Amino acid sequence: MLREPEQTDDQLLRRIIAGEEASFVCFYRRWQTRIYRFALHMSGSASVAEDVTQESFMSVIRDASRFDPALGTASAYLFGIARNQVLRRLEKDRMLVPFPEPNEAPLESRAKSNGNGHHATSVQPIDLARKQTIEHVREAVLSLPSHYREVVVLCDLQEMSYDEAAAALNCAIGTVRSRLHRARTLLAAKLFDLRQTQTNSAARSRGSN
Amino acid sequence: MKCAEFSEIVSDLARNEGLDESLRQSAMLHADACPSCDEELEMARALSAALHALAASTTASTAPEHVEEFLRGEMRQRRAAVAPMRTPRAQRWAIGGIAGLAAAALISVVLLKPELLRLTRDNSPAGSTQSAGATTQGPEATAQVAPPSGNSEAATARGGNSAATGNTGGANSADTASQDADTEYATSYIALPSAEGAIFAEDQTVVRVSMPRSALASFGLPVRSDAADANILADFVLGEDGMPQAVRLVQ
Repeated sequence: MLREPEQTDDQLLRRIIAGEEASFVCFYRRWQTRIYRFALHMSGSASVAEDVTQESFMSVIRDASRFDPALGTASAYLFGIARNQVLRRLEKDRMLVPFPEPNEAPLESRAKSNGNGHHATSVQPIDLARKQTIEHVREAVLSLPSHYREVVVLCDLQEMSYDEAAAALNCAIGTVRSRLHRARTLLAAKLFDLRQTQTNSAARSRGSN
Repeated sequence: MKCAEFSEIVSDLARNEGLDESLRQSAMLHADACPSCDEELEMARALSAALHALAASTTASTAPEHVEEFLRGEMRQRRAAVAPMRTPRAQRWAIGGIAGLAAAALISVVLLKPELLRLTRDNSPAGSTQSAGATTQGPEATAQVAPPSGNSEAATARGGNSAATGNTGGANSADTASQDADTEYATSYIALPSAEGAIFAEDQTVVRVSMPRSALASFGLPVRSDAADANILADFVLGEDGMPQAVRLVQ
């Protein structure tokens, strides 16, 4: 049985402009996970990631006609919107005193959530050491300045090529490479410091016993 | 390769991206020979593995389903809001276009043959042969810009005929023969929906345009689907604002 060829992002965006809900749903389902995770890694907050995802796709509904395939890919267009949303949100939140979000579960457990509070049971339990390592990496990524963090998130966590990341960030490939190099150097230093701190505190606790 | 150069590309090396094969091999040879650069490469690879583990920890993360529901609702609302606007907007554009065309035609008549411009009034029965002037049907009264006699080069500016002689309300007998040849038939004037309630004056401008039959739909008039692409001649009565208020078809 022949399958209908999958529509390209450009085709879907044209149909979204024409008001086709089915095309929007197709486009949304194709991209929402990557946009959500980008925002999640950039902000460290599931609620921010949710807001950013919603606002990014609202922009698509409102302004898809602004997308010009001659200027870049749909991926670059969408990540460009999401990036602006995240940076705006981070800037806004920076001026506010943060409160712990009451229902904010750790990202590790949210990773197994389907968004409705139902948790998958088929995922293997992650051992504590690995969990701690992941938490340290997450903290280190979140502590990076945003212009370094975004290249790490796009290139290392979203596995984008330098080309794709440059298009999404609207900058030169050389800029992406140099920022990534600098970001990874900072990350390595932060993780090294964290490890040293842990080793020292472990040694102190052993000494006190 | 020197250690400083190696350090510059160690991230690319760990990610295995952005390096051509010869540079990569050169870097690997350097790492084999230099323990500190080799260690730096190992650290870069360990960092890549740690980042990969972080990425893998969120592979199942997706936006909650209510986000999709919300967005679908927005999409539906938007479509509902846009749909009723589409026709009037298109209609406004078409009307604007026709008005522009009509204005251009009028200007060309005025500029090229000012002596041919003449306002007349005709009370001939609706649907009758139009030799001069306009009918008084639908709109209480209409006036017409008397067009040049014969067939003008500019079809859009082409109009009736006899008033070109300078006579008001009738044809010059000397032109009768040529008028017979140019005899045309026209419908009565139909007030356009966009001009509902408008009161038509005697001195209103009428211009003739050539346009696709399908353009009538823009004015809320029925169009035969089998002849939608055919060109037709139509006389438009223009309001003071230059917008068409009534139309008749001419053959």
